[in-house]
Amino acid sequence: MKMFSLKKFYNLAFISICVIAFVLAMIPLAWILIEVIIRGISALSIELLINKANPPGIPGGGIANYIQGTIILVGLASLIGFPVGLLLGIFLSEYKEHKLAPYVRFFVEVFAEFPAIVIGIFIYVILVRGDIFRLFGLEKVCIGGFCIGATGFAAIAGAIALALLMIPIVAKSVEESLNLVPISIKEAALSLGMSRWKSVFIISISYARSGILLAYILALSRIAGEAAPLLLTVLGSFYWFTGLFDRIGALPLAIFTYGISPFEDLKAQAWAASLILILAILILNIGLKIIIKRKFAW
Amino acid sequence: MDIILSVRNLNAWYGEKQVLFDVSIDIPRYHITAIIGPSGCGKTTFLRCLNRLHELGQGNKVKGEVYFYGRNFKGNIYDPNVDPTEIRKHMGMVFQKPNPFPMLSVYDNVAIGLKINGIKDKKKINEIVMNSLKKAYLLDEVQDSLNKSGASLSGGQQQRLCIARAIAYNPEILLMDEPTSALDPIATSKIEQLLVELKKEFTIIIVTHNMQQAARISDYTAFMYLGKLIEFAPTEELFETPKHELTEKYITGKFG
Repeated sequence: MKMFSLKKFYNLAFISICVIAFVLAMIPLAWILIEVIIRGISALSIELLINKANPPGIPGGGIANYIQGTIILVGLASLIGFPVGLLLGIFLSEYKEHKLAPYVRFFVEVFAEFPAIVIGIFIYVILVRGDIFRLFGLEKVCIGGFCIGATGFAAIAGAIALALLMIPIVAKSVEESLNLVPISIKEAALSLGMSRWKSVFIISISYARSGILLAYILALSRIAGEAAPLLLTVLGSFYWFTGLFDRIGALPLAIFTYGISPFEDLKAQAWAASLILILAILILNIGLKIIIKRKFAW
Repeated sequence: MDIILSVRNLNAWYGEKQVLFDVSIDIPRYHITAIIGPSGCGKTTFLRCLNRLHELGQGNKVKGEVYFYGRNFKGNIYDPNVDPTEIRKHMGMVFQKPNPFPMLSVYDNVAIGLKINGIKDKKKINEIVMNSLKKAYLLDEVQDSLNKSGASLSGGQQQRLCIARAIAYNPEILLMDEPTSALDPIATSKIEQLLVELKKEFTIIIVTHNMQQAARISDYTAFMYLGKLIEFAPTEELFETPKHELTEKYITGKFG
């Protein structure tokens, strides 16, 4: 009887510790969310969402150009980063026996943990300042009539920096989801006379499509909130998007610059921008998970 | 006897471990050949060597010759100039566990073999898909669920779907690796009936651990033991008057 109650006590003590740890972890998280929601909502208005920012000194203005900028940057980064990450993930999963595979895997793993700001400074030196061209003793490179030199702070440089962040995240998750494709499914494809690459592209990718889509959302959520690499590559802008080789605004940059500004109305806008960013990521995640459940389940 | 496959001195390895030793056998066309033997005797490996699937496993190796006398291919399938994917198009394979593609519909599971073999005419594809499902005794049961996932069917239906998938692109040989071992007796008997029907059009090689099954449906039976072919004879002969002591011991249940 005594043993039993002692056991019960240990059990209860352990569960209590778990609950306390959970609560301790949840407090800051819930706090952040509540703070962002309360302050964000009170700052939010239709004008804020449809107007672009005003240059410094002029009161009012909105955050619409930052939303536009984030969509453009994230979209461009996806265009570059997702296909490359996907191909790397396929290589890692399907060509494990290739002699380059261990090196690629090491590279991807290290790269995935790389501080974003280091990627930012790298792109700053290589593209924004244009050292890659100077490396070859050139000021610019011309293909046909199209010339490219040091980009200066430019949307394209920011997109490339975000794409570099995206590649290892996509590659790792794609590799993991392709590893989950049963051998029996791959063998069924091969026994039908599919070549190896056809079996990968027609069967394995289709089998793992929900995992691959989730990999993409994961990477998207990560890069949408990055400010550090953007500070070094696009710098920010108060205007609507004007071109790939111009400066561009983005939500994380607005949060950074407005958040530390001394003006109350700008601080409020920073909270609104935070709320929009969090909501966008949340909606993206939940929405796509619902779609995956409805359309991709079998 | 009309021979479709002539295997000569086939050896196979899993990494360093040799699992087939100098197997030589002639498979007759339009008949069912059963391969029996205790677990681990190499019967599945032998089957997977015939469509060059075995060599895909990491470290696996095959040595020997397999002459295939098909409609469009005649020669040794292990010739270095032969593309294994081409060989696999002449052979359909059905696996131990039903493995329809779960992300494809019942219809597309059958159609995919046609599509990758370059058939684009939708009418023709439709005709072949329906015909294959009918031949696999499945059409009546799935008539209303052609657009549902291949994984939504019952186990026995899934295996017949796999058979429909394997016969759709009109291979000459059907390789079956214990196709009924995961199924209940009713589903098993349906598939056995089906195989007897299918041998009119295809040469069937079936690996089975079930001796009664071999006796019921096959015309020829090969008995394998420890990676070697011990005896190969017409089924009745092998079961009634086995020539080799090991065969007799195995079929009378003294080991295995």
